[in-house]
Amino acid sequence: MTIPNREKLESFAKELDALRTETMAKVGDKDARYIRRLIGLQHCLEISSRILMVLGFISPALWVLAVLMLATAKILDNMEIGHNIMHGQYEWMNDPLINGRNFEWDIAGDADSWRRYHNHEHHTYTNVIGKDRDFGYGLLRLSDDIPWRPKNTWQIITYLNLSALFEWGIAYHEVAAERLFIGKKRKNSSLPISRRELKRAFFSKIGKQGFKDYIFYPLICWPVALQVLTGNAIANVLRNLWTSTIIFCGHFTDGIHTFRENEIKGESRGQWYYRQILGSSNIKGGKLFHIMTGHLSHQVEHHLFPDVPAPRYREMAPRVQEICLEYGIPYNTGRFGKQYFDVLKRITKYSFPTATAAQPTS
Amino acid sequence: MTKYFSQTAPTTALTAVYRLFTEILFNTNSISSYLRPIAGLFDAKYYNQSCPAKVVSVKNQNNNIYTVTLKVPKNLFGDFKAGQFVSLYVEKNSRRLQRTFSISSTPSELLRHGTIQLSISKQKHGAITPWLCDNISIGQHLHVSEAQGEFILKSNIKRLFIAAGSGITPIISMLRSMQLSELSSSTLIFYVRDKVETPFSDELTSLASAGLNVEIIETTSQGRFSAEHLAQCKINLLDCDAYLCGPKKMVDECATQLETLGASKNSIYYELFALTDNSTLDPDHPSQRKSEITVSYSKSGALSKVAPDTQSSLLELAEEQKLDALSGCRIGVCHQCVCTKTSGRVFNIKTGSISDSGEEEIQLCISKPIDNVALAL
Repeated sequence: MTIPNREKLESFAKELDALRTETMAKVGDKDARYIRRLIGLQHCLEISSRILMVLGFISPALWVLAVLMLATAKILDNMEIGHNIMHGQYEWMNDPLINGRNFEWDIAGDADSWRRYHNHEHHTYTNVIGKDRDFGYGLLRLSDDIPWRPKNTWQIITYLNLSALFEWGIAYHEVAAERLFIGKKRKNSSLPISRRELKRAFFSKIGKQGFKDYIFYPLICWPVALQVLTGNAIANVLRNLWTSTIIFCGHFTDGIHTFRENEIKGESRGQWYYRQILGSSNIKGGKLFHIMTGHLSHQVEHHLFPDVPAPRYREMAPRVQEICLEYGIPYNTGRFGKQYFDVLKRITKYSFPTATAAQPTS
Repeated sequence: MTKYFSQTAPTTALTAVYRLFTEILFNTNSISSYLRPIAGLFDAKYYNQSCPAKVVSVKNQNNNIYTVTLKVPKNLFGDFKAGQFVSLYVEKNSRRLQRTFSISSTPSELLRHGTIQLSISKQKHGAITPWLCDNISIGQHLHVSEAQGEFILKSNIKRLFIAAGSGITPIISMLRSMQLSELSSSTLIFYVRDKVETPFSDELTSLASAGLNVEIIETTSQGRFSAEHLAQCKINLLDCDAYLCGPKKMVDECATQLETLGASKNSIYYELFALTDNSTLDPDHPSQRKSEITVSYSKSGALSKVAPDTQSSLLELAEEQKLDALSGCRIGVCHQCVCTKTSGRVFNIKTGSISDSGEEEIQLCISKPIDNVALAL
């Protein structure tokens, strides 16, 4: 995809900047009340689901309810709360409880590691082949930029596995990029900590998370240990499926563009905005749906303004769409079913070698 | 000053186990951080962790200075020495902002009533001080840190106090807590713009009748500090401690003059009131500053000195000092380089806005200093 020159995108960038300024001027009490209440409610939901899980012996229906509640609590913690706080969306509050630097979440992936590769690599180099490892996660071939390999033939199975085990994928992501266990040491690593520290943080977090859901809670509920263990496992898998599905719909739909490293050298702010829009897609839905996706249903707005409080994306979206229309820039949005179908189509399409396949990029 | 943000306690085996346990179960380092958002659903006052201070009364000292009386929980606040200050945290449109204020009441009042008083001067163009005066209500909860500061009374009871404007606040606390014998061997020289508007005039009258030698000098008619003012008070500088409080310029002038008049450098104590030049707070003319800017790094003790029109970001400055600053995208996207700024204002290169002057979180890669800035690095 070729990016228009900087002059063409200058006023486009100004309009988006103005929208950001206008929105941030409105941010205040309402946003603070929302996030603080949501955190309180999420904590209540988590505690009650853990209690209800034990009471599952009374009726299986209670157990099913508990599993769904725990999955919901984890989804809220990971998406609307954790992901957004770690982007610095609530930094303006200077609230020690909502501090993006310290936040840790209920998922196998270490938060510091996430802040490095997601906030930095993925959000800065969105869909730049070779720079943004989130494009296919090193497992899937999702465009012609990546040469076909035989393993791509069954990548739909790989995708389903990744989806069900998504949290472990997140945990392993940076470790894989740094080739900590397998492969040759990365040449141009920007890792700010030592490889030993990375290894330690990796094992520490997966250990804690595994201990909590699969040893500690089952053991303290001993007579019903199995019921708690399976409940926790199912809740984790449900959360994995949901988060990965939403994320795939945000980056791997039909109209998504990819970029080359040489295209982004000396990029202007307008060009950066342009690339973010073309690398993202939205999902239409109601307010509750948006909250459950952590507003990643507004992936376009999130990529343009990663540190604006996410609930504000809902009011920004129509304006962004207008601006895109004005400048003839495609704005990718659709209902969940359509977007998800597109994702599956893309995964299947690139399972096989394509005629126009490009040479491997370094 | 950063105590409010840190949650580190001395580590023993037991606290280490406790922290590991809370990290595993709640992903935080204390159970209270997990429970407070729940308690906050019922009453916002349970949400905050710092020392909650209930507003008991608000009284105007004059047109410019108002005194807020706060009831503080004894176990959290501890005690203080006359002359010390606290950090006050207020939420303005849910944004937590911090300022430091000297305590103007006495330690014995804290013992008897559980209250402290802060006398606050309204800063022109200030974000907090004029706003707070109109938006504070009795019964409301503000948050304070514990008392800090080295500007406290020493044992020598022959004392000379020199205060300018709102610089009287720590000194009035010292004077109020002094014994009669100490008062009668001490002198206060108080510089005010207009005698009619003298803050704490009632207290000063009663302190004078208790034996304190009080000279109130109007700067508009009698000028700034000079040897003549000192001569009027008939004090022997040789065996006397001097306590100075006011703007930096005033304190510097006084200290040099006192030294030339024979006072020993070791017997001069002072407290600077940071916001000395109101023009630097003017949002319409933010870059009037002509002098060099100092960026100090509290954890490492390093300093950067830069020209007022510097183009370097705080991240670049910290890296020049070889400090361990985390960085990522360097364009203000990833929030890797966020750091606590304890004081001073910065210009945000990305948004074009100017930060608050108190303690807050900033992104180093897109921040340029416009005042002297202190960072927790």
